[in-house]
Amino acid sequence: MNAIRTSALVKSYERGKVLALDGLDLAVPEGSVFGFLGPNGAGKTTAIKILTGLVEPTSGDAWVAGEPVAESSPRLRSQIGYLSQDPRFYSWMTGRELLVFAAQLYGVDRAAARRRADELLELSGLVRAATRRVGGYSGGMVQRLGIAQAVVSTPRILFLDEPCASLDPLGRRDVLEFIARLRGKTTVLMSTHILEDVERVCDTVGIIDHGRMVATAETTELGRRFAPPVVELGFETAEAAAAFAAAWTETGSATEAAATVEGEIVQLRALDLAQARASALRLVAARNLPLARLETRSASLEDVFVRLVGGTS
Amino acid sequence: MRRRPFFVLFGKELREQVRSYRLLILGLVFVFFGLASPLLAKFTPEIVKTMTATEGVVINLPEPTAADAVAQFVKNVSQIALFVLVFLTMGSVVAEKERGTAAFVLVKPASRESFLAAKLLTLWLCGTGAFALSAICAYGYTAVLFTAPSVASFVLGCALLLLHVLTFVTTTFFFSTIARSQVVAGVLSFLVWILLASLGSLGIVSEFQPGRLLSASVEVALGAPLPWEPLAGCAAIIVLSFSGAVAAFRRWEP
Repeated sequence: MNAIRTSALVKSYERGKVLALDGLDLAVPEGSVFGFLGPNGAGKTTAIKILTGLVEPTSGDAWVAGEPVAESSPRLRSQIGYLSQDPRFYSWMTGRELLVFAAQLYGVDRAAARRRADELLELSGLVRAATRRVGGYSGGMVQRLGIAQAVVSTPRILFLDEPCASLDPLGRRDVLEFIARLRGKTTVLMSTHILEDVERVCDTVGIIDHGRMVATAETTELGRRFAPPVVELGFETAEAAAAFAAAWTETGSATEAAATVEGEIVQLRALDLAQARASALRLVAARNLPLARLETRSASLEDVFVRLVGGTS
Repeated sequence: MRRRPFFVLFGKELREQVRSYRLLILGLVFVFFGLASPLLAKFTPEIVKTMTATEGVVINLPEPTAADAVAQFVKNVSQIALFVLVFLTMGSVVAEKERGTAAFVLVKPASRESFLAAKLLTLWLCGTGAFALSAICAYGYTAVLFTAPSVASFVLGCALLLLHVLTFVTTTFFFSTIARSQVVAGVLSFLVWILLASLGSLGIVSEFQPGRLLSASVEVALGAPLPWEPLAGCAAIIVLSFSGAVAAFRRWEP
């Protein structure tokens, strides 16, 4: 069952001149950690704002936890948690006060809200800053407080817009581990453009570009489906790599596998990798080119991302 | 005990008024004018006499009365104190929109109506509290320096003045909801204030303008009957301003 679903979701601004979402179809399975990937301005934040009820769609439908988002009822909002891209909180409140306030907005009584706040302060490493004003927090501390307030009600569905944006490597690791622990219990939709984060914690990935979903698949499947493996040849010199690429085109092999050159590296993308590999080896031997290594490499998420949106962003 | 989101928001607003020293500033300003108004009424003629006597000019000013003290109080509260109150109100909603804190609250199970209602109620409560302190001071000093007006009439007159103040707080609140910056909200509030004041020459409409409450409050405080037209005018402006704010805020997208 899908915890989040959208159908032909459109959001336009300035009387249709700016199209932020252009018929977005999205389906996020319940209990999954969904990586929402896309270049800047692709429509990730707009989609999340619609799904959290902050922004109305121009047309199309969206459901969260089985309820239509357009109605944006308090009942629906009681089931979600949200961390915005640039979290802002009341600077005059202390960290603990902010979490108690957030919990109380979900109808939690004061005593329970305080217990939950203390638990989350511990979990987010903010115990020592609990009685300090939020206005004095660093960017990383605000981000951690943001994640803590987003999960204060133990939501069924959690929306995280660039959750690791301003974190140092340790903070990032902690946040990603925390997100990974939610798998199976909470549905997480996490927008990011840090591909490594997606590979580390997301089990499903959706790539959005120009307001449309261009690919959705399990993280492990994505590469196989959208970017086939490559044969990579490493030459001793850049000249040798260029000579190989020229010979590859000259002999007509380019029709069976496209070659791209970057410095001393030549990559061959082909459907029949074995044949491309054999042809490449024959050509290297015939031209007596100084080959240092040859390997078959699976496509990374970056390869998929570049392939799907690289030319358009 | 579980609290409804409105009461949670209301509690937060009250704390914010205290922590940001807005309540303190408001209280001090109103108390100052409460104390200063009867004093000014009492001593202004003497100051004028002293100043003009040195130049050889003799001006005969009538002996000041409790009515002058009340008129001075109404004038000060309706001008300078109200200016301060509007200044403290103009950022109420727009500042939260600008800072991004409104989105933090609105994504939680609190309705946009309760977000606005909690804010307006807090502003009213703080304004009323500061005004009440001011009125007590003004009454006490008037009683000491002149003769004490009837308590019932004075309270009724103050209620009219308070209604005038709260009407402008509500219009400022409306502009704070629809404007994109605090400055714009403040400027629009003062423009409307001036516009409403200039309605005095528009026949029957002038009967309903909030400004009429100012003269009425002095008269009522000294025993005159209550005029219903400006009361109805203020009620209509308050209802329209809050409804307009709610309608605009429902459409607002962070």
